[in-house]
Amino acid sequence: MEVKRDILWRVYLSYILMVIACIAIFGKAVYIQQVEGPKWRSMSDSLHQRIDEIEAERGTIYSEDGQMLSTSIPQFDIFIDFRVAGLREKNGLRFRENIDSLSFHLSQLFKDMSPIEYKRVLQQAYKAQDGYFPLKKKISFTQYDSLRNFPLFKLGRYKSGMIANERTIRLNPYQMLAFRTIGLARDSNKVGLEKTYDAILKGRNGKQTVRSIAGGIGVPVDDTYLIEPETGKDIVSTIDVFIQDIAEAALMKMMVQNEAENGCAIVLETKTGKVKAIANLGRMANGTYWENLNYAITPSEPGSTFKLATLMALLEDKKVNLNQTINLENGVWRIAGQTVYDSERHAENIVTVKQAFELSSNVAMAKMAVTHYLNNPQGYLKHLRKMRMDTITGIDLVGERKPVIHRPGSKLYGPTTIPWMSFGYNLAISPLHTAMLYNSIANNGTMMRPYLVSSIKEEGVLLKDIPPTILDTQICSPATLAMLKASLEGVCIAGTAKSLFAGTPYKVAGKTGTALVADGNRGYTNKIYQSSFAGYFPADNPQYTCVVVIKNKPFAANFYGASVAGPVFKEIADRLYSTYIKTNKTLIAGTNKKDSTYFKYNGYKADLAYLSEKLQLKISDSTGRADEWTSLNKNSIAAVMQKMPVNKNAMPPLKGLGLKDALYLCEEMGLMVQVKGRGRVLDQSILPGQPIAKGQLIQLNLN
Amino acid sequence: MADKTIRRINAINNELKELQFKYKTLKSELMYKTEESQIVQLVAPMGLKISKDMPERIKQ
Repeated sequence: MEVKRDILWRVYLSYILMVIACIAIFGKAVYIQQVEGPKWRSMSDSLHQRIDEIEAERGTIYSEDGQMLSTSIPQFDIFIDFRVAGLREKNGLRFRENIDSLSFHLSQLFKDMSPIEYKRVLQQAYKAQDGYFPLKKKISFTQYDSLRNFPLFKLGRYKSGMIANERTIRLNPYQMLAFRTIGLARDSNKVGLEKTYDAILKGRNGKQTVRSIAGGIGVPVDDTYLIEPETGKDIVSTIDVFIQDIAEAALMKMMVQNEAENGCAIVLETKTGKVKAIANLGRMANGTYWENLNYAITPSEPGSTFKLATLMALLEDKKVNLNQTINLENGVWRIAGQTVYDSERHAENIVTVKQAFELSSNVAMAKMAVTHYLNNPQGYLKHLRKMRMDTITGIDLVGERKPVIHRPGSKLYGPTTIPWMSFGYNLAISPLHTAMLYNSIANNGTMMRPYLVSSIKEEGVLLKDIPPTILDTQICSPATLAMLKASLEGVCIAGTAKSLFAGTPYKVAGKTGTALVADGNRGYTNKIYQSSFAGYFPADNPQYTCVVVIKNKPFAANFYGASVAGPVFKEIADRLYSTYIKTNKTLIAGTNKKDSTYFKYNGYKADLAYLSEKLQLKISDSTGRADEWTSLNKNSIAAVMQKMPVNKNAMPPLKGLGLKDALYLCEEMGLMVQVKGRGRVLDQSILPGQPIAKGQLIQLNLN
Repeated sequence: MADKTIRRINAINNELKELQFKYKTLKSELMYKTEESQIVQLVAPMGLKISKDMPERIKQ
């Protein structure tokens, strides 16, 4: 029994030990899983590889003349981690040593606080052991470049605690210039070219395998990419910085002067439809102006500039001719229970159709539209369709809104629609539409689609060239075209824009417009006028088409198209004409270009005669027998020997004389001569013709 | 050897990028300042303004 008990006791002991061991193992497993779990799991993650996305650099938008309009550039937010050991060791020795010079430099760079203030702020944050102290936000690369070389900061992140958070922003070097058209590349709600060409500009993000180390920092596993990031392509816009600047400055001047609400100016290159400038200004709450909306592609009632379309329809259908007369009814005419008013009284009532257009008579337009189209609205609308007034222009800019034209059958179509539409009310088209229409007249009837991007480039290499698009080769017959051109020129010679262009050295063709516009739900009571001017120049060989539309403030004193929008147009036209157009035409005659076979030498008559004989030069001698000093002069035809006048009291011209002759001449006049160099006389210290005195000093430079 | 080259390529790439940023920043500053309307504003206190006369080209 003794033995049996002994064995049993040992078995139980082993059993219990085994159970305890099992429980311990199980317990540890649970502990690792549940208690220490997160720690180990994160460690496992950190030892793993992950795939990181590398952001592609966005392309640049260039202007036609190669200037950057919008480009990517880094911007930095600077923070300081005051907890880093390098800064705090030895009781903050490094911090104390550098704080004064650092504060001084910061103050010098940012100029927003004095060195003392900087020091106080930094010391406070140091005391508070701030781990993420915001020092300065949104600093440029140049500022960052000098900042990182400041005392303390130059020691690096682990000793100074400086953290620079980099971020890529879009930089518009010209700031407001064409700002809305170039657009914004913000993450949500992009606008302008940045939006239209986003797919091309943004490139493709790359992917790279990285191994995470502590702190979530990725270390590339090897130097290859899974997908290499692809930098965005560059786009070249048709906008010309110079023209844009002129347009924007001219528009700004008038808007400020008139306290106008908003306005735009468009310049198109006639032959191609390239948008050379597109300025949009809107009044901000504080009274300044900013490119806040693309007014150029926003439809509104065009006013009198639209009369061109009506006249084109009437002429195309041969309903009227320019010389038939029409009664202006003293500028007041009732139709369908409403009254059409002309904005100014007329001197004469019976005028020709051309004169009525030049004087911008609403009554005349309405009367003709009523006579010929009231019972046949489709006849009129068909022409508007042909002129593409009922659809978007198709410019490469996202956000263009459709024009509004009421058709029979629409709720808003009534008996007043056709007469009012004939002078630009009761419909909405954008200023760009007006520009496109006038440009097609300037371009001999060929309608071009306005466009903003002329090519796509990658690292300066042309990828794709975007040619001009012809929308319609002939929007009207040549006969109509000639009459319309004559009418538009007439406006600037005898019509509403007569005084504006008086004395302008080139011919302008255009049309003024003054439209009373509705102000939201207050209707027309606030007397807000939209002044516009559309035209092209020089009228005999159109190069540019320009449209200016300005919406005035309520009850503005000055609101006529010819006095608000007209001067802006004129200023743009004047500058463009003198810079681009005039240069290859009128030239002021000057000296002819020098020919290398021309020469002129002065000298002693016998010497020159001997020389020319030896060299077998054909010369015609026009000197007298007594002449001693002569000049041999060859220009276009033959060499001529002439008398060189020598006056004993005045300095003779010495240029071209040999030293021997020059010395002889000078000394004979009693001058003291100082000579520099050798060869022939290049210049003389006493100019030819100046009176001289004996003993005077003259310096001669020889070539 | 290869490592060294790769490191050098990296360093030079970084330098290139920084120089590009520097160029862009300075260039844009210059562009803005040399814009005609900016110059007109700057010289206005000196009594200078854009001539109203048409320029005349003198033939060479």
